[in-house]
Amino acid sequence: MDSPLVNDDEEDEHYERTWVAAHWIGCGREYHNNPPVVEAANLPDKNMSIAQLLVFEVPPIEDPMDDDTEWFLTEPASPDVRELVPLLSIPSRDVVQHLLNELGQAWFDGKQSLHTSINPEVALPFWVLTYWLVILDAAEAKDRWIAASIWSDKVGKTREELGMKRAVKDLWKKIAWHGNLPGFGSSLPVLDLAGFFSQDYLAGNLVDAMMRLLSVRLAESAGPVSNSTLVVDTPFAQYIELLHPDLDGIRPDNISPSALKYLDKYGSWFQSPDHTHLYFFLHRPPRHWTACEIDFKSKHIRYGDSLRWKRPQDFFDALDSFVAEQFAGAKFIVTDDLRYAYQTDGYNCPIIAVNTVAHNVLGDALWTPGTANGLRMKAFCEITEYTSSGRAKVCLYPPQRAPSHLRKGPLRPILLYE
Amino acid sequence: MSTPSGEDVKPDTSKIRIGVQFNGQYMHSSVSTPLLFSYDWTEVFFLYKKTKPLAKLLIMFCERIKVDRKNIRFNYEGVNISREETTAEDLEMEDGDVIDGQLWQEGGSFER
Repeated sequence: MDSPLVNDDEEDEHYERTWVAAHWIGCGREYHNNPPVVEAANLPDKNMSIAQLLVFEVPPIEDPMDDDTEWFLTEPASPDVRELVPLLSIPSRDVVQHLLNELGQAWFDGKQSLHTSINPEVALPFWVLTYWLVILDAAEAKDRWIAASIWSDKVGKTREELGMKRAVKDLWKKIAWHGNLPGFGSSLPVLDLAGFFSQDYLAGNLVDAMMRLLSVRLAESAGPVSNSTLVVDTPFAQYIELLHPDLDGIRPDNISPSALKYLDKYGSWFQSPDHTHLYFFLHRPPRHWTACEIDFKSKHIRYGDSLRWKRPQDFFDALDSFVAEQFAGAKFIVTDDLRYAYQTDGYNCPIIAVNTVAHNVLGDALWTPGTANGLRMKAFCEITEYTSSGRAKVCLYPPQRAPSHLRKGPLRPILLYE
Repeated sequence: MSTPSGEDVKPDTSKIRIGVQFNGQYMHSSVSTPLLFSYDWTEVFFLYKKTKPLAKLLIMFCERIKVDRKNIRFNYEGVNISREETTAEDLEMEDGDVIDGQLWQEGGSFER
């Protein structure tokens, strides 16, 4: 089947270099893209720490009462609104996004300012929309970190948790609230880390960050296991799933070369007689994380599910086809006896899956309900400390290839260490 | 093709064909609304500048298959493409290379 080809043909791109207002404004053009917003004021500093964000004053957010408001005005913006804007209530994200969508066409139609029913008397310049979006980002981040703070105050009861809580609060003074943590492949948004201080589900990027720390611990350990064992990221299982054979045992022919190249890297690693174990994380739809071990020496695959659900046969058929290909058709035994902790709540399976691998590879104690909250806080501390420790330079297999723009120069500093 | 002032615009040779592939089987729109549905294998190729951030291309792909961008994680040879500014040149992609779309996975265990 031929795949469709879409030409991203930006015919108007040359206009950006030779902007002539008369070619655009008030001459019936159709608007398609947002123009660059030229000015913003009093924005929250993106380098302020999480602790500073927690006390940052955010203007009240409220929705305009009347949906039929004529937002855009033909009159120019009121003079000297720069000082006034931070004091005004701001609309919700839905309203701001709606206004941004409408802005370009309104601009072409000759509108010069906007107002809302919250502050109808003030004609605001267009840049206020970008300002509002940044404030809304800060407000949402503040809400999540406030919830995180409440959670950590509530759970920090045991001696271990109290110590961990102090470490957490200390890190909150050093980490910038905005942006991404370097050292985790392409990126890891700082805001996603707030999920550790909650009963929220955790996504694959956080599981991968915890997996990377396990890999680093493994690489730094002096024992022979560091050369023979590999812990891999969540795309591994997702790529393996693509290999699921049909009823006739035939593998799909539409797997991308990128996916095959990724799997080939691990296939090559399997071949070495010095390599004995590979651990990976498997997501069970809709919301469950589990762990798995491939033991090449004994031709054994061990699965560990904290809820003791039935093994997903489709996935293991695909995995079987992959390992058989690497070992000249050898048959691997699959069992459910990877040592793991039993989950007693509805939200800690990603922590338990990582703990399962840490227990089997590095001898960590198994997760218990009593250590559950401390392990969530510990994961946060380890991830954030890792980015500033220089351990990101530890060489892992396969070499983690960061995009070249990340390799070229220093990353924007995100940790506020002195 | 020419500009309003009559200048000729040369065809752009900096573009390459970049494929995006996705074959999601399970999807949920958000944590609070667990909607599951299946989606067939899809591949679309784009003629796209190597130096232009891939973020726009990935959004175009998601709009085309009518799936929320937040629900797909894109990888190229296992490298996650989540930074806004990442380009095909950064990833050393060549003409005809394909980006893999994978379902955004999250979990804790029990449905709430």
